[in-house]
Amino acid sequence: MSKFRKLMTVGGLAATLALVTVVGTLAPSGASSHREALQISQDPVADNTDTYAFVSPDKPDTVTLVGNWIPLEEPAGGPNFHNFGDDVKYTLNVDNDGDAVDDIVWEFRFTTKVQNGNTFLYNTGPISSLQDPDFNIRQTYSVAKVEHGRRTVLGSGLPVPPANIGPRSTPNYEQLASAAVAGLSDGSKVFAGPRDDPFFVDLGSVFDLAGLRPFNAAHLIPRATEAGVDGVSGYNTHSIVLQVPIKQLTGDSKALTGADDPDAVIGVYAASWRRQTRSCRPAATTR
Amino acid sequence: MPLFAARPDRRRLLRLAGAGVLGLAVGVGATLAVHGLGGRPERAASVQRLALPAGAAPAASSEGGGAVAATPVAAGTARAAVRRFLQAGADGDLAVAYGLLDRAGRERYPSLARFTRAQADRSPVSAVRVGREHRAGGGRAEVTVALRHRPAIDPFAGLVPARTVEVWRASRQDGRWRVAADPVSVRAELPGDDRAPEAVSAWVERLLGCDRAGAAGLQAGAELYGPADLAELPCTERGRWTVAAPEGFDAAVEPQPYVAAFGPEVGSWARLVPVQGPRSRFSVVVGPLGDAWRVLGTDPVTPR
Repeated sequence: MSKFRKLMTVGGLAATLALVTVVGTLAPSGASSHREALQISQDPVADNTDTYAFVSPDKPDTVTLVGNWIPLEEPAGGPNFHNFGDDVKYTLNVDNDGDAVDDIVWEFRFTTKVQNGNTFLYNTGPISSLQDPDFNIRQTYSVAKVEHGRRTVLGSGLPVPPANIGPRSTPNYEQLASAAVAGLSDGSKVFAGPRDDPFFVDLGSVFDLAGLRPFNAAHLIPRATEAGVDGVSGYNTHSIVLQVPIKQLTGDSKALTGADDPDAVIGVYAASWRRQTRSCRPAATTR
Repeated sequence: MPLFAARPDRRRLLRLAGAGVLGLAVGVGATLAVHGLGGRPERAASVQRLALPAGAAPAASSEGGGAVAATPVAAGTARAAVRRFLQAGADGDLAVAYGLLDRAGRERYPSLARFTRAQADRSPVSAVRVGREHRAGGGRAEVTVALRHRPAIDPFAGLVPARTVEVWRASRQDGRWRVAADPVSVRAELPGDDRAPEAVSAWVERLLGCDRAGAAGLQAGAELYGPADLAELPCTERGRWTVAAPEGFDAAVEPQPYVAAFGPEVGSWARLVPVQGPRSRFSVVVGPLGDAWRVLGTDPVTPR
C-alpha cells in the first residue's frame, strides 16, 4: 500500500468517525426518506421522500411548495400503477413565526374509484382526457387549509392524472398532466400526481458501505474513481405541488417589502398521517 | 478457501485505532462546540431569522404568543367558565379559551399556538347552550352543554353532527374555575334511521331520469365512494326500483373505501339502504348531514 493510500485510509476513517459522532449527537430531526427510515420503508405510500419550497420562477409573487411521496416508483409498474394512499392524510406545513408550530397546514385526502368493476385493468383503451371512460382506476382528491384553528375545504373532486403508461395508452401525456393543474378557492394552484423524481442521490454507492464514487480511492475498500450516478433517475415519485400567493404565507397576510422583510423567512415541511385505530376485545361471555 | 483472514500487522492496527480515537475526539469536540456542556439545549425555533444586510434582524419570537397565552381568564362559576370557554372557541377568540384551560390542558398545550393548532380537529361550534351543573366534589364540576355545529361529512373532519350534547369538566384551580381541554362525553343527535330510505328513494329517482346533477344535490359531497359503476345502474337499467329498510354499516360488503376516508367510526353513523332493480341490486351508503340522510356512495351486495 502506498504512503498516500495509507494516509487517505486513516484520514478517511478519522473523518467518517468524526462525522458519525457529530450527526449521531445532534438533536432529533425529521428527515426525507427514499426508504432510508426503517418503519416508513414498509409503508411507501406514506413515505415522504423530499420537500421543496421556492419562489415560483413563473410567478414571483407566489411560492411553490412541493411534497414528494412514494420513493423509487418504476414508471412501467403496471398493471397496478402507483397511487396515493386513500387512507393517508398528506400535509404541507408552514411555520411563519419561528415558533416550531404549524401556522398554516394544507391537507390532502385521496379517493380511488374503479369505473368498471368487472376488470382490474388500469385502463381499457387509450386515455385521451382525465374523464375518459377508458381511464378505469382513477384518483381524485380534496384539499383543506388549516389556519387560526379552523379548517376550510378549498377544493374537492380534483383529478389526479394517470401514470405515463406508454404511447398507446397515454399518447398525449403532458397534456393529460397539465389538465390536472387546478385552481383552489383561495387563489392557489395545485397539482397532485406522478412525476419524475428530481432528487439526485447515488443510492447504489452510498449504501454500498458509504461509498462515494468520485472518492472511491479514499475508501477503506478502494475502487477506481468514477463519476456519481443518479440512483433515482428514471424513477417516479408522487408529487403534491401547491403554488401559493406569498401574502397568504406571511404572518400578517401582507406582501413582502423585500428579502429583508421580517416575514420573508418561513419554515416548511411535509408529513403523512395515518388514523390511529384501537381494537376492542368484546366482553367475554359465558354460558 | 481460507477460513481465517491473515492476521493484520500490529502497526496497521495501531494506525487504525489512532485514527478512530482522533475521529471520535474531533466529533465529540465539534458537538461540544455546537451544543456546549450544558446538556441538551432548549428546543430551537424551526426558523432562524436571517441577518440580511439591508435591515436589522428581529429576534426570534417566543412560541405562539406566550404573553397572551399566560393571561388567566376569570369565571365565577363552573357553568360560566364552560360557557365562556366554548363561546370563545366559537367566536375564534382562542386566547380567551386558552386562558380558561386547566392545568392538565396547559401541560398538553404548553402554548397558545399549540392549542390553536389542535382546535382544527374539533367540530367548530356555532352556538352554545349551557345546561345543568353537577358538582363532583374536590373542587370539580361537570357541566352539560348543548352545542350546535355547521354539519359536514368530509374526509378531513369526518362526521360533524348538527347538534351534540356534551359534558365538560371544570375544576377550581388557583382560585378560579378552569376547563379541561376535552369533553368528558359527546353524544351526537342524528336523524332517525327510518328517514334514510326516503333520501335514497329521492336519489334513485333522479338517477332513473339520468339526472346526475339532481342526484348530486342529494349527496354528502360531489364525489361518491365505492364502485362507481353501481351508481350508473338506475340510469341504464329501466324498470321498477325498490328501496328496502336500512341496515347498519357492519353489513357492508366492501367497507374499505369508507373506512379509509372516514375512519373506523364510520361504522357507528353510516347506514346501508339496499336497492333492487329489475336485474341488479346493490346498497346505497348514507350518512347523517344535519337533520337529513345524504348519499355517500354505493356498496355491492356480493364481493367483486
